[in-house]
Amino acid sequence: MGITSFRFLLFFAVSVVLYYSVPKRCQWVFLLLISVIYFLTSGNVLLIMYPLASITVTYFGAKFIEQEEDHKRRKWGLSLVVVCNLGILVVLKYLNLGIYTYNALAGRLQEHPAFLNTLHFLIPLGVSFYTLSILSYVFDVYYEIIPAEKNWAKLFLFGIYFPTIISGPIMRYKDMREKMFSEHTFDYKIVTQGLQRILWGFFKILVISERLVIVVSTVYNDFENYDGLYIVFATLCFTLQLYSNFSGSIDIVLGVSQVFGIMLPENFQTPFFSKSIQEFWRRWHITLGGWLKDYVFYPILRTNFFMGLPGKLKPRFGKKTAKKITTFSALFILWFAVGLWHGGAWKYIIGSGIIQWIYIVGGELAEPIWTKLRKLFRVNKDTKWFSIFQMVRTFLLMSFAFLFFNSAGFSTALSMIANIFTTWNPEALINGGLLQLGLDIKDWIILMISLSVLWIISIRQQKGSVREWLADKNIIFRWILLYALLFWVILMGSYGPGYSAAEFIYQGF
Amino acid sequence: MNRREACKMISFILIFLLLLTGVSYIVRTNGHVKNRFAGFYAEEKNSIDVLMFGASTVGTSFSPGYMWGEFGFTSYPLSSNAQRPKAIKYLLEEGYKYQSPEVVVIELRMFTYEEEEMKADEAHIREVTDNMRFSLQRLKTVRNLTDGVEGFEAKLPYHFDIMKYHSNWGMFFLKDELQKVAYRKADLHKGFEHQEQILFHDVKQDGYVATEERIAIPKEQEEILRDLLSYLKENNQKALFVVSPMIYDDEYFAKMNYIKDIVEQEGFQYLNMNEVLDYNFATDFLDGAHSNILGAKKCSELLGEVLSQEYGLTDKRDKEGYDSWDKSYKAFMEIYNEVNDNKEKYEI
Repeated sequence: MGITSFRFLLFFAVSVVLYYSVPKRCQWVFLLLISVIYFLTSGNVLLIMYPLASITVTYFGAKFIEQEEDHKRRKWGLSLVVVCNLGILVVLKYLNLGIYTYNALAGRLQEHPAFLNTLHFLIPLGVSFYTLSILSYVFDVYYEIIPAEKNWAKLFLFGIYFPTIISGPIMRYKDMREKMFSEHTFDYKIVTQGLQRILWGFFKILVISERLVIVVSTVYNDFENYDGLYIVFATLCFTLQLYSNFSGSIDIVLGVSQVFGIMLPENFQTPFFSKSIQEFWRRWHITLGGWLKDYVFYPILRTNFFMGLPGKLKPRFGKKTAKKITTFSALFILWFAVGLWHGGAWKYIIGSGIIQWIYIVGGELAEPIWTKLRKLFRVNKDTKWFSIFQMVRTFLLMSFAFLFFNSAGFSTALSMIANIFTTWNPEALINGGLLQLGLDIKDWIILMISLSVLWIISIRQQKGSVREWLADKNIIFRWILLYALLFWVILMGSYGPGYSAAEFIYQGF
Repeated sequence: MNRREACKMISFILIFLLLLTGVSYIVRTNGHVKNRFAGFYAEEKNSIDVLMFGASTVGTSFSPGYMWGEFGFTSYPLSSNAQRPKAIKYLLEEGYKYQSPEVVVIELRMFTYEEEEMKADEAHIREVTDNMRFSLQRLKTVRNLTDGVEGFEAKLPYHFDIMKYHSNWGMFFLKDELQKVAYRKADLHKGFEHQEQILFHDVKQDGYVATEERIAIPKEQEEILRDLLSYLKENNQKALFVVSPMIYDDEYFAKMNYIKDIVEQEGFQYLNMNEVLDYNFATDFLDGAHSNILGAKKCSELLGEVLSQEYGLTDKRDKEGYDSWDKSYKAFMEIYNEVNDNKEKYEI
């Protein structure tokens, strides 16, 4: 049941009506019921065994951890839950990465390599999302931030809550407990703003992303026949496509949940206004970044190894450098995990992980050089133009990393990069070749108008909530704007017969 | 939610549905069939004496304007290309919502085709469903005509045709299509599709060879025909079943003979125009299956004569309120005279 399908909208509409009709104390039970229905109708019904097993182990594990006073046994309990959950994730998503890597190495190192066969599993919907969400729960119980949940069904709902299982965001039980299980009365403002958010998500996906995907696929699926600027252009388009697709689906998810009266954590905050890579990741997939920071990065820094590392390195590198090496090493693990979360392939580990680490570490190491250069050329850091330069730089650096993300594989990405740097074809800028990548002139006009609207709204978002701003306007202006957007999506969206909606890029995670 | 908020929400939804309906109508693909159906809905209620059904040949062979000018009764085709016989009953029900026809004319060509083929013919099913105004009758029609379409997701765009045509937003720049926002726009030719080109045929002048043979039509079509006949009887509806001119083999006309027996057994009139019409197969055709305007005049002449003489349709030409019909007749004759006087110019 695709998130932009009519079937989903129908499912959602019926669910909302029933949700506000059932007794309030039963609302969460109803949500559990529809979440199970959603899960069962979105793939092989047996796949529900995975979240069922993960959540049951986590439920009992958390109870054990809470009741146990012995620190060691508590740690064992936590380890068991983590191993079980990550074990499932590793088997389902990363086992083949190991097999591919082994086969690649064996092919190079052995004379008569014995290749291993890859394994193909049916992967349950949203496995990466719900695994991280329930792990955050057990960690929080372990750190005594929250008590263990007594009701298994409530934890199960937290794990498979249907809007979030599609593409996140990754939830924390401590933030969701109150919202999810309290009683909700139909609130006109909350519901209408939720619906507006859904509409905005549809706009991003159906009008923008579904057009950009044509340009991107044209080049990426036939990259041998496209050179230099074409690859650059398609890569820039992919960055916009990824953003409109992922943030659009998050808008729909957050909007759907808001209609049920449950506010979910934000996952995006106009990331293309970021002036640095660090800032970008604070604004892009916020819940993943937050999760990894809280449950991977900081715990790593608190381990005996990392606590003792600066002391060991100090005699050789000095205090300052030793500290930096320690932080950079922990950061490497963090970014490796970010990359790994995105998929069981080296292109993800490199594109979403290691390159980001190189950007950050490289940026910090090169900061003295940048400072000198700025002084030399008398560049004022505080001007608007310099900010714009920083935003463009961040956008370009992220686009370069996303080239790995979207390519067929790591080696393909390297070939494409080699092509970019070895082919000089500026004529593509003036001969109209860039406009002949699957879209006609009408589509380009629609795309440009839509991207401009997205850009204007993003600028407005810097100052505060656009929906709040809209709510303060008079009804005629408000409705005209909403109808305009609604019909823009209906008329310009790519859906219906003849269109096959591209999969949500983050749905596979 | 208080009462004010409920009112706002309902109003928003109602305005949306209203706008969606108008937008859906505008973006439907333009062309003869759309003009014909929008024209039908624009006709004054209970003003049409004869409703005509069937495939494209109905639109190209029978001119309501000409029949008005010559015989003084009003008629309108609710025909579409390769119209499935199964659609006729539903279209007639749709017609009854707006008109109380004295007679209905049903062209029989499509009854010789296999239902299986037509079930899978999306374009021609859509020519019926996508040209009806939104109503419960349309819902019923779509449900029944999409019997060959599998799955909820595949059937949905038939109900909500904007899912199919939304990218036709260029229609908003066409004045004619914008005027169809309510799917009502008077058609000068009253649904008639005038074809000027003349395709000279390499066939014998008499084209049609009579046969007495009988070959059964596909079983499903026979059931549909019998169902239609019962429906007409239940409604005490006078009906004329016609076969318009067509170059075809003996087998086709043997099937028509089979239909003739069924139709006449049930007490309805059957008229094979090929048998009685002074049709020039060399000059009156557009393509061997559709009449051009020269052939249309002959077909309309014959149909008008039969309808006015045998069904007692009154001549309303001296009554007021039929200006658009006078204009339609005039428009037909202008085109006819132009083609008739300059045949060489229109040869293809």
